[in-house]
Amino acid sequence: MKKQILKFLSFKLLFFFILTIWPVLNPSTAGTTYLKESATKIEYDKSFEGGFEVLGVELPFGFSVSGGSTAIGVTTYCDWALATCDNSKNGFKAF
Amino acid sequence: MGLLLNFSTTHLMKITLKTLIILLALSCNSKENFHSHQSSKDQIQLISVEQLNHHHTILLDSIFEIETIIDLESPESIFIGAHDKVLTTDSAIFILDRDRTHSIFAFGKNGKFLYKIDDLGQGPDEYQELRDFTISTSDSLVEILDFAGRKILKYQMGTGYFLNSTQLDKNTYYGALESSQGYYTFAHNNICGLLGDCYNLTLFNQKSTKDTSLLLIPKNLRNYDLKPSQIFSRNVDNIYFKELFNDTIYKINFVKPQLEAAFAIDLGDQKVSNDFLYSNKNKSSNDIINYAIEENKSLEIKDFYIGDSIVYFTYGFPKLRQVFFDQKKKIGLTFERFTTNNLLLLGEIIGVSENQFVTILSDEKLMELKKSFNDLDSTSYMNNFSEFYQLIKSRKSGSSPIIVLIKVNIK
Repeated sequence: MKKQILKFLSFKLLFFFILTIWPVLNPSTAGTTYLKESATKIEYDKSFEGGFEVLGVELPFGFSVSGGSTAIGVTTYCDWALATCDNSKNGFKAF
Repeated sequence: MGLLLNFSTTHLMKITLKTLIILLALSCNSKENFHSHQSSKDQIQLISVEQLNHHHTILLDSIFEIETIIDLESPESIFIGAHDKVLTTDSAIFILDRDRTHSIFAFGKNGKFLYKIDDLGQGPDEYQELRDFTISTSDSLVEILDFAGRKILKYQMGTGYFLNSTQLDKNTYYGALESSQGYYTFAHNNICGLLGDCYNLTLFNQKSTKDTSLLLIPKNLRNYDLKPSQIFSRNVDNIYFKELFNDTIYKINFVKPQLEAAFAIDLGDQKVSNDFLYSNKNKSSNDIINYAIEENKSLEIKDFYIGDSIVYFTYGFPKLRQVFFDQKKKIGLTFERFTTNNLLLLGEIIGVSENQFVTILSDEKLMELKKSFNDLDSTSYMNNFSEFYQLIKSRKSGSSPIIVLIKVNIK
């Protein structure tokens, strides 16, 4: 009888342990019904400027625009549309 | 009592041992062996950026040739907040606005507005979150990936009418979708599935069931917060894939199914070393960005579009460089800055179809150009840019973008 009780308890303990540790193995989903996202992406400045020159040579009637892209910072965001996001980390941080 | 304690201790040790064995078995479930991408070496095109002709500034007019200008119609009922993805067919253009209006907009190749798909909601025929979309030309379908609802919604391509949906496994993270000839592929953005599937790409068969998983996610990059800028690139029915930090561009062979390494991009000394990328020092975007700033190195190639003959991609940190490579002539060029005296060449490359690159001039950029020219002498402006002037002279803020299809010639 004692052996049976202990066997029953040991199985309960085992299942409790597995269920407790399972979300920890997947930190992105721990404690959530659905996956909550907090992603990061690099932002680039794509501004351009105009001037009456091309490649440094001023043109009599021409007009040129020059530009390029430079990384300026990172945006942390959550992609969800309807579900609740953890928005505390959202925002832009300049380099 | 002592006997009971002794028994309990022995039993608890047994339980702990059993638990450890079970956990070990579970951890082994995510196979650590790398699924090889079978390609013969002559199929892989190596592009070494350090061997390409580098220009600090390039005149876009010397390499771009405009083939078609499509001024997209702007009826009052639509507003395109962003262009996150653009796909084209022979007769239509599709624009994804993921976060602002949660919609897909369809236009004819003449610019005429056809319809919009705007089914955000929690019903069975609606999507909770519009994460990605693709088109199936063989079945005339527009297919949407609903991330939160874990399903694919199918719409008739010609009309935008909803047809049906396919439910996906609720425990898997689906970051992006592409399809070709009835087959699907999903990218998982470095998030392991709950069922121990820790691969970056899944191929589904024509019955919409999982066929194979490919590209094991390196341990330090599992659940990584930095997302790849671009995951899939489509050229008609050819689908290409790139995973975070790996500068190999794979072509997806859906029928076999397998990945074929198509392009190996070598950024040389300009790239953060693999020793750092795949080490425990790199566990979040903070780690890699701080390292990239200190070393002035590129993280990975950013955008990529594979034309029939020209390959385009960007890389570099903090200055972004653009690269064009001609596969047939085996020549290419890189540049950091551009200049042009044709304002229609200022669009951002956002797609490719055969040999035509799809560029988009956003409403924001067009209004900025219009505003900057208001101060200039309007006669010289009209004379020099008559085509551009005609397009934007009566333009109102909030209008649809202009699509310009260009051909690239590298001499």
